Amino acid sequence: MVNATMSLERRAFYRILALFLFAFAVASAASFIAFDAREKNELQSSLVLKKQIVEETFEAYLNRAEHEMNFISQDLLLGHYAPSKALDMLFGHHDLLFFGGLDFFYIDWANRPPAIDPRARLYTKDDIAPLLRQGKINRWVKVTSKDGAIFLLYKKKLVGKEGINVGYLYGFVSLNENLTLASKLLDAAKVDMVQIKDASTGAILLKEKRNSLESSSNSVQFTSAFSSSVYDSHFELEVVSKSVISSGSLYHWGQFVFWLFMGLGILFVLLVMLIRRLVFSPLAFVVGRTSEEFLPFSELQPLQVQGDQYRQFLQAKERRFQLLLDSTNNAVMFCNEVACVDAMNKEAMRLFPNNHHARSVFDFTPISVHQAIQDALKGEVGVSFELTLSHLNVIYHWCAYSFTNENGFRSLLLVGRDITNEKRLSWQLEQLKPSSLQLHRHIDIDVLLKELSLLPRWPDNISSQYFRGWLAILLALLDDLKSEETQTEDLPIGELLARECEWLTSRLGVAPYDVQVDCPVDVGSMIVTCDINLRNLLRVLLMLVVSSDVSQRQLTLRSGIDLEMTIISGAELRPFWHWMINALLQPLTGRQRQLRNNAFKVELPLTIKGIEPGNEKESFTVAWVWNDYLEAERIKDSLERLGGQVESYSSTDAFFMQASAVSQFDVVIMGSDHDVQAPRHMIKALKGQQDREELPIIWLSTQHNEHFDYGVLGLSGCVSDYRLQKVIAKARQYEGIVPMRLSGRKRAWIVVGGSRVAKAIWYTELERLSISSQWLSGLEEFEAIFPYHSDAVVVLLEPQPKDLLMSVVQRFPSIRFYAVQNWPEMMDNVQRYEMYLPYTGEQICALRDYVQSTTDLGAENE
Amino acid sequence: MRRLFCINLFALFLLGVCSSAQAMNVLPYVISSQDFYRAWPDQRPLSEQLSAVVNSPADPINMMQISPVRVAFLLSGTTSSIRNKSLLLSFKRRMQELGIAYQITIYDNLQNLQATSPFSLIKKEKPNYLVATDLDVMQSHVVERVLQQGKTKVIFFNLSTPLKNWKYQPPFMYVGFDQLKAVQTLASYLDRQLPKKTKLAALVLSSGYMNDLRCNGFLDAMASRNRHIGDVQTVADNAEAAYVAAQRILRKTPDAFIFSCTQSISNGVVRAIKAYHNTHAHQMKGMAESKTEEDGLSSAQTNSWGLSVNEVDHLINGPVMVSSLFMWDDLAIAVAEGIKGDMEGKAEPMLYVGRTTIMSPEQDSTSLHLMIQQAYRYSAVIW
Repeated sequence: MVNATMSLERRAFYRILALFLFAFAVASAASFIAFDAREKNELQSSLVLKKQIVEETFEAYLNRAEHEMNFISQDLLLGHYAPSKALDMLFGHHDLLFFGGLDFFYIDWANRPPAIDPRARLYTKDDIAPLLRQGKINRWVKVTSKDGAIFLLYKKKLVGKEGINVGYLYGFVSLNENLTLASKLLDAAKVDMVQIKDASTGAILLKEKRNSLESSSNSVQFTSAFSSSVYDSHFELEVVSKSVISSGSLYHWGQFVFWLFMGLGILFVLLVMLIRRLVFSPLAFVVGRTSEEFLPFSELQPLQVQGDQYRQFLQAKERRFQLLLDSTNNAVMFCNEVACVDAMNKEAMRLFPNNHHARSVFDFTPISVHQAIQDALKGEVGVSFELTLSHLNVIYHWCAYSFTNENGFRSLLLVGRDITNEKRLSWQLEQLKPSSLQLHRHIDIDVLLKELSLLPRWPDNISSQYFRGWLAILLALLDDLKSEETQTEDLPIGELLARECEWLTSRLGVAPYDVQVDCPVDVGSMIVTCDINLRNLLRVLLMLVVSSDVSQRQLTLRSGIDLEMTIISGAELRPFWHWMINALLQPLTGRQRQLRNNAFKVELPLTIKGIEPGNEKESFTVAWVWNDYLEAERIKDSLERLGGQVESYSSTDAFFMQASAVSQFDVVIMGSDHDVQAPRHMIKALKGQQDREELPIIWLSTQHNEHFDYGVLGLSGCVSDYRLQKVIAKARQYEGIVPMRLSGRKRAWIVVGGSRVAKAIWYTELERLSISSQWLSGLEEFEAIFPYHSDAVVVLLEPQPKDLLMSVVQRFPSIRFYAVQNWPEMMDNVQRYEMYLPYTGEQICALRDYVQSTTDLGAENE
Repeated sequence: MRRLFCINLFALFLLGVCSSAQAMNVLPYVISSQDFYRAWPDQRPLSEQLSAVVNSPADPINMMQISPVRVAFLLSGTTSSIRNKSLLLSFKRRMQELGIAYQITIYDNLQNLQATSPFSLIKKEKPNYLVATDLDVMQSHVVERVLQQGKTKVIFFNLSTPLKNWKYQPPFMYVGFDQLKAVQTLASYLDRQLPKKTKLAALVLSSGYMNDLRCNGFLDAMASRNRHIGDVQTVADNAEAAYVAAQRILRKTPDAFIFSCTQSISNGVVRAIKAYHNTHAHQMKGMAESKTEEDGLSSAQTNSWGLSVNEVDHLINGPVMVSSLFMWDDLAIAVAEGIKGDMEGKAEPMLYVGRTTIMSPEQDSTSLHLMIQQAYRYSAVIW
């Protein structure tokens, strides 16, 4: 398991950096809050000043209203207006009199009805008169009407001539519905909200705020007593201003943050340098120190002490190890991952005195061992080699062991053992011992007994001949193992294989087709030296094929660098046969390998003495008449592999009956198992037809037959490509068979329809009349038959469709139709010859004569 | 400089220099006693404490004086005027009773001081205390400079409304009467006593401090009580002008109650009523017989301010219906007690408001005399 490493220094610096960043963030936030608070404090302080501005603006507004009243009163006193015209006259020159300070006025004449400014109705519907009693001369007084209108009331004496008071002028300034006053207060103070409240009752007298001031927005509020010239007023003023951090404050905050960042950054760098110098440098020194010098740091001294202890421990181990190396008699070498020698004991140094000048172990070892050393460096296990050191006259057996060194790389340990004396003794012993006493040839009794113990488990359907043959072969094999026969002969492998196959099948009593051999021509043609071991090896392999239960059991031969013989069996090779094959392979210097799916392969390095001539592959035309031969398809595949154009026929009759498109057959192969009559007849017929005795006919039989008695070539037993090629080559020495010469035959008769009984009757009678016949159930299959019998006689036992008849006539105009019964819409070209059931030989013979007569008549007319 | 300008402006208002009948209001520049105690609530207990001391017999000072305390008086008019004589007499008597050695320097007739400015004199004298009796131009100029100098403590006499502009460098003490309260008390009495149908008239000043506080205060108080004053005339603050104005009113409404804003006006109105009664005695008699109480006064009447020589006689025999009596000597006593307290290192109030009361014909002569004696406990001999 590989543990992830981390840098302690880096981790510490990252933590410190995170801390500084956190501190920077906190300081920035705190400074922002402080700036904001300072901004608010300044705003709060400014609100104090703005409160005074509000008061002054308020007083100025009232003063202006007073001036307006002064002008109005002067105009009233000096204008001498008619009693009912006073208001009209006043409003007549309103641009001179009305400054917009008063909202409305009321003239209380001493000796006239009062005059009320019509604008009063805009502010209150209540009667003004009761409010007048609260007025104070030359003072502003707060009055409230019954409908909630709040006013400031100013009372002024109207002093006429000779100082006589002619009345009072009352001026009203609205508070709670005076947008002008409220806007002036807001604009003058530059605040966002102004509110005047009666401190004693809490009633809001005037309130105005800007739309930009939201209830939830950041704002600063200032409330204080509102001093005004209003009589007996206990007002409270509240001003609110939106707190927005100005661009200047933001700029200063940005400057602060920048310098804070610079300061923290410099501090961080200094801290990092200091930590590195004070902490990590001593740590690195502790780790990498080579001397006994101790650092004066109390925290590191335990680490140093521990390191020294480990070092001393390792040094002691090293010394013990070196003693061990030097004490052993073996040569020991340690190499690193690049084969450089790390350590050698004295024995190794003695063996390789020039190792001091070498860079790697390859420099002082022979080339023959380099591959083994490299294999060991790559991690191969069990690498060993022998090295003869001629300069010391010794032989060493080296074993290479790979291991992982302290750096995690694969290193090498070479241990050499002096086997000089062993070698000498073994050579001497070998010289004294006969070859027959080779240990590997001794029979392993255990495996033999184990194999023999399987005999009772054989199935009951095994014949006694097979059993006896199997035992005989087994004993012969064992006997041959200890034989010292050295006789050899040079044979083609195919020939050898065929001979051993015949020998085996005859001993075991099995059919030759039970031993399937795949031996290509090129392999079978190879001439090798055959000795008793090779022969017995082939026998063993063939036995394994015979005893295998799989359907694909066969012995496959291929040649590459070696001769490869592969067997597919149903089970793993039993120990006896494994031993037997090993014993046979030993002198042949072959080897066996177990393949997958219970197949095993034997590889034999054979010396090819030559190639058998006459087995060249050529194309040819072959008629394969397989009759009752069991492996017809295998033969057909083999013929095709050999280059043959194969025309297959199921029987001799089919051969003769079916007209072939091939002009000439180079070879005719007849197959037979138990039926020997058909091939005989075919031979006779062909000889008669070809009018010669020497024909290219091959009789392929599963049984051993007397083919020589019939003057034809024969092939029996195990059939392989090689054997087939050999016999075909012989057959092709004769002139081919031309099917056209078969034209002298009689017309074939084809019987269509009818029952099986009728078919049997017709077939027997036509056979008796030496007329070849075929039976069809219907004309639907005419395309498959009539091409081969384009001039056949077709006897219709049942009615046939008209369109079929038309098709046949159009395709094969030479065919003659004869119907034995009448049916409606029978075609004209169908000749009717009435016959009655049951069909008899006389009727059939009469029909034959009729057909013959009509045929001869037709030929004369032509 | 701004403060000096305001003081001068205020002085002009007090003198009534404004030629127009529509004079500027001075009240915005002063603080009423109620507002003062509301703004400085810690002054009220001190004022009450001083009031108790003033009303108590003198308690001699309990400290050794190294040198006599120097008190300078800035008098309006001449020293021989009754008011000034009353002030000085009361002050001296109290100081004597307090056992305080003092040295008084009087500066009067300031308009006539041409060669030397009063401030130079005061500066030369270096008095400990300066009592200013009037905020005219001359006195205000002197007081301004003295206050700026800060070495002499200034006492405003007969001024119960501290100046707003002086609130950051106030004088040592204000002593005076609450004119507005006095006139509201008077209005309340008249509202109760005068029948509803009584015709009311008023002779008021044209402008000035008294006009704003007393005259307009009375008019507003009567208006708030729904008492219509049909005839209001501004007159100069002298008996002759009041006499002429009263005659006119009497010719129109011989049974009116004529409000006299000042003692001088009251003196003129009294003379006019008496003269009218003398010349129209028969008419007055018939009117008195035909009228019921609800019909109004049977004859014209007026009010007084406690400074008439025949105060009691006029109250008992008419035509003075009511008199507002100010405890004048209490002001001088308060000045003396204030100086004494300051010399002893005690905290003294910045404002002392003297008592006022109502004298009416319901009280007998003896009670009236006693009340007058109480008001002028030290200076009664002058009267």
